[in-house]
Amino acid sequence: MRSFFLLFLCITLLGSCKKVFFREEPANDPEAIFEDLWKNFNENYGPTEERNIDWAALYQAYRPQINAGSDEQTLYQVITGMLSVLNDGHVGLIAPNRDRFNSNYILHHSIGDELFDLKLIKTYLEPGYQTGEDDAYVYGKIQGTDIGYIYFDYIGDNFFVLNDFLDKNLLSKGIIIDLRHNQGGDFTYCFSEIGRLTNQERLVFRSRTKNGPGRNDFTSWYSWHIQPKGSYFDKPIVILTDRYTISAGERSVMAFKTLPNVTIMGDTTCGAHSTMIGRELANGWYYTFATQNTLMYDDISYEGKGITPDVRVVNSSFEMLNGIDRTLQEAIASF
Amino acid sequence: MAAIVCSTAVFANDSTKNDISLRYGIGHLGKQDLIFSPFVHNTWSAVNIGMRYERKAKLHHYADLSFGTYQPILVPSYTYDDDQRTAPHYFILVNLTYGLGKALRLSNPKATLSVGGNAGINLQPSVYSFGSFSSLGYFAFIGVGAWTKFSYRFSDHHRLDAGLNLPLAGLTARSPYLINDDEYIENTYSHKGFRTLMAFLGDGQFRTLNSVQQADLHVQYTYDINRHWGIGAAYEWQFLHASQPASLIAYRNIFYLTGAFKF
Repeated sequence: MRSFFLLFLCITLLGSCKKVFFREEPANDPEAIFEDLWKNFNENYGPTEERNIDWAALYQAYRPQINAGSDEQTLYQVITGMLSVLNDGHVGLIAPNRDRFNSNYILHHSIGDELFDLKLIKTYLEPGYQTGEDDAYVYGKIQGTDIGYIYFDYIGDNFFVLNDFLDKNLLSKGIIIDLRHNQGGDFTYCFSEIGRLTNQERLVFRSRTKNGPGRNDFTSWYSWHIQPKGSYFDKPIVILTDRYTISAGERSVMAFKTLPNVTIMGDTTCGAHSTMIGRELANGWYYTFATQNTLMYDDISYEGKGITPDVRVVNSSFEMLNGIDRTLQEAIASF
Repeated sequence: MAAIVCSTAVFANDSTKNDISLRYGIGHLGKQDLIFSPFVHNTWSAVNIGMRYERKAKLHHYADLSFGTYQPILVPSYTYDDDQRTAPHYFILVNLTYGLGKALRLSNPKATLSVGGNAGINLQPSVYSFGSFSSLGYFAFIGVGAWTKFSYRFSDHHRLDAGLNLPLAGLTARSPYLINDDEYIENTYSHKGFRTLMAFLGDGQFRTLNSVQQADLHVQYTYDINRHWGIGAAYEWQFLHASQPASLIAYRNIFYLTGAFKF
């Protein structure tokens, strides 16, 4: 009996001894937190070259601003200051009792956010338009026209309604797919659901992901295509974009851009084309960052630049206040 | 790692050969998966359940299924963006094992020792929550191993079991180095859970003890109420280390209450 008791005791002690098993964790002090965050970006941030980031220079500039006695406010300011240099919509920071920080200047300061208004857009639609939960999608007919309209709030399972939308517009003059303020998500939902819009396989983009701490540690390039699926829909299509069209939303724009019957209209997209991942810091803050390089089908990276529209139209605050969505109106007029 | 909590009766003095048992317990998990975080995630959970069938005749068989969930968080949940709150990570642990072995004769009639081999599935999906953003992760092992179980009957009613399970080699699938590379995304393209799971497993690689080490120890006391029913308490310790593509180290301590039906 005594031997069993000893065995039990040994096992319990073994299991409770954290230091026996685990790698050393980053310490919970201002200097260690900065070091941990900087190291992770230096080793794992994907678009370092596209965004022309010099991590050593950033370290030299920001590390001296932190010392063992730095308070939380100072740490927050220094970290967000460094991350602001990236101007990357995929880079963000969450800390207690603060608004989310976004490295992208436009997103963080909500510049031009008011130039898109879904309530206003609904006034352009015939009554009886369809909406998803929390306006995940909105679709219907533009009043007094034979033009279909669909809005996607993000890229996800809301794209499953696209087939129904196309069925309802088989006799339309054309359709408008509104990706303004699209928050991104999972681009594969778009790619798998737009098979009816192409009659041939089309290369959309290539991407590769960091797979090690070295500057050139990346996976091989991976090609993403769209494939024909279902009855071909060959009507004219206008895609609407703005500065808030981001990430999977932009990859979706790339897919639509491969189609010969598509016109991109609106403003340049955000320019954050990678996938992103999250991380946590010792003090419980969370941050996100990008891990990939992306080349559009023309073999050019638009990371940090965004995809420019074929026809640039940007609403003004004055127009919005007066109930006019000029971008949408020009899209309607283009058919 | 295959969960081997022998929550069953011993057969030394019984005419019964089959045993079905259920167990429920409180567990503590410590886990550090460098793919997702450099930090060790510790938490207790009251969601640890298991079910086992065991037959000891000419050969010693068992099938064991266990399930547990854990929700660790590094610091207490807090508010951001005025009305948003951070949430804990969410780890699921599922084990299914079939074992086949042989009972060995010992000089002490009160004791029995069984040894054998087993095949098992160990699935550990996880959701790491980083404020407004979360990532799906996974560890999966489908492989074979060795097991042993020692039982000692003190009296007609009291019995102690101890066992060890060592998965040795098998197909191992884990999240990529930075969680969601292109192959990972391709695997999710079907948007169907089972096909995605199969695609993840399909990307797995054959691994041996060189890169994946697992162990599962247990000790259990059983009180046999009568010829058919027994109750007991058990302790289990599990360990997992995988080195590729980044270090994953986890251990789990579980304290179970068990009930068994013998026939």
